[in-house]
Amino acid sequence: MSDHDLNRRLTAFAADVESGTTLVAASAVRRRGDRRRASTRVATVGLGTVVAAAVVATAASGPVPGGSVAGSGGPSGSARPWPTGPGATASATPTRPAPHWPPADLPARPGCVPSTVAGGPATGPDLPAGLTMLHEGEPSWTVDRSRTTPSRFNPTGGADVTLAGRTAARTLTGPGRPIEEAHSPTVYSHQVFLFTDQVAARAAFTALVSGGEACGWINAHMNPGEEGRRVSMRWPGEYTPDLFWLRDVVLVLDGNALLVAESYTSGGGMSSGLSGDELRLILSPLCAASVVCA
Amino acid sequence: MRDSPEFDAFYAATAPRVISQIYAMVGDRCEAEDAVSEAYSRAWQRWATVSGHTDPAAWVRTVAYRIAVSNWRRTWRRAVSHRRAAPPDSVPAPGPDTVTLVDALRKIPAAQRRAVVLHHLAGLSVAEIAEETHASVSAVKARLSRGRAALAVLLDDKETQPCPTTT
Repeated sequence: MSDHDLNRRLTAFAADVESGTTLVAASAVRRRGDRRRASTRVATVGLGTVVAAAVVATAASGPVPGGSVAGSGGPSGSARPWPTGPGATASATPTRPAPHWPPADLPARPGCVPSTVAGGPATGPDLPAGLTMLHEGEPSWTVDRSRTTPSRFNPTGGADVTLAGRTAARTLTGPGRPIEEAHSPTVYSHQVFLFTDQVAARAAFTALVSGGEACGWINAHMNPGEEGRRVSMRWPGEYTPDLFWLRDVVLVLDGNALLVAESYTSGGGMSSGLSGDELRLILSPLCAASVVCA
Repeated sequence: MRDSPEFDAFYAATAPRVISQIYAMVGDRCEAEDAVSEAYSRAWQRWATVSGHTDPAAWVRTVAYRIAVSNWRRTWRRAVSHRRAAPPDSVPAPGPDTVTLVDALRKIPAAQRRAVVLHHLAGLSVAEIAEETHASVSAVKARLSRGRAALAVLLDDKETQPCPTTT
């Protein structure tokens, strides 16, 4: 096939597509951009306020040897607000303006019942000593190695279903990508939980998915062939008129491990989330250490 | 807003073309339309900057492609489509040539597909493709060459496939 022939076929293809295209109204496209622009302005003001407060605090307390405003101004793991379920509260941080939480129009869900769980953390397999998670050690990312850290994703707001049979955990929390997500400040959380066995891991995975579905999260399997062990869920806030926040979570069950990767985005844009390659980067060290891999 | 007529005219004039290009690159019309719409929103968000570019449509195309291939975005789109009570949109049925071409494009690697579409559909030079895709000129040449060869086989196969015989 000649270049000319390929050009001809592609041109015909474009004509076919363009003739049948019904565009979204330009005003709707602009409205979406306006919402995001307004949110970015709020984020900038929030960041400016925090930096100004840090400068004032430093000036009031005098110079700190070896310290810096930048070093003390960032969010710490304990201070970082993160909604852990309906009713949780979040306040402004340098990486994210104060979102409405919970949103005023949170729909009532009759089937959304706070979860209960029997049992708690257990002894058993531990994470490899040399394990380094994706983003671990990077500036602005915090690491929590506590076995009992709650799951960030707790859709029912009840008991933490990931605690039963949990033997180890690691939680990383960090900001969104600086350029790509500057329009919608984002906080990411990557949590890996290890369980005594595959049965316990599957129970936690199933409880999170069913709890999410009952409480209004939209659920979708990520890839064909991975049904039952990889799920992406999103809070359908994108369609509310006063859009100001979005939450996404990816749940990956792999042997006796469960990955809960969540993003919380304020500003009307959606986060870029995790790519398939990034998911593999998180899970492959566990697989290599024979901790997981069903 | 003062710039909105300018943006609206730009959108109306370029969006159908960008949709067809992204559709050819990702092989899914609905995904392409969704990504392009999102990309134009981002363009409007920073219109003062984007409108000053030599080719604002190229900026939109690059952003739309990145959105379209985002794993998370695609998952989310599937979820929304799944939950919709009605079919997503009333999209007219594509012609047989379009189906054949999209089918063939889907079968070649994404980088080759993108290079072929940018060159043969968007009319970009090799150097311009290299700049837009952050690849070297030699890599673009190789992708174009391999992509064309693969498409030739795939499309010629379709064209010469014998009709099934009845007994």
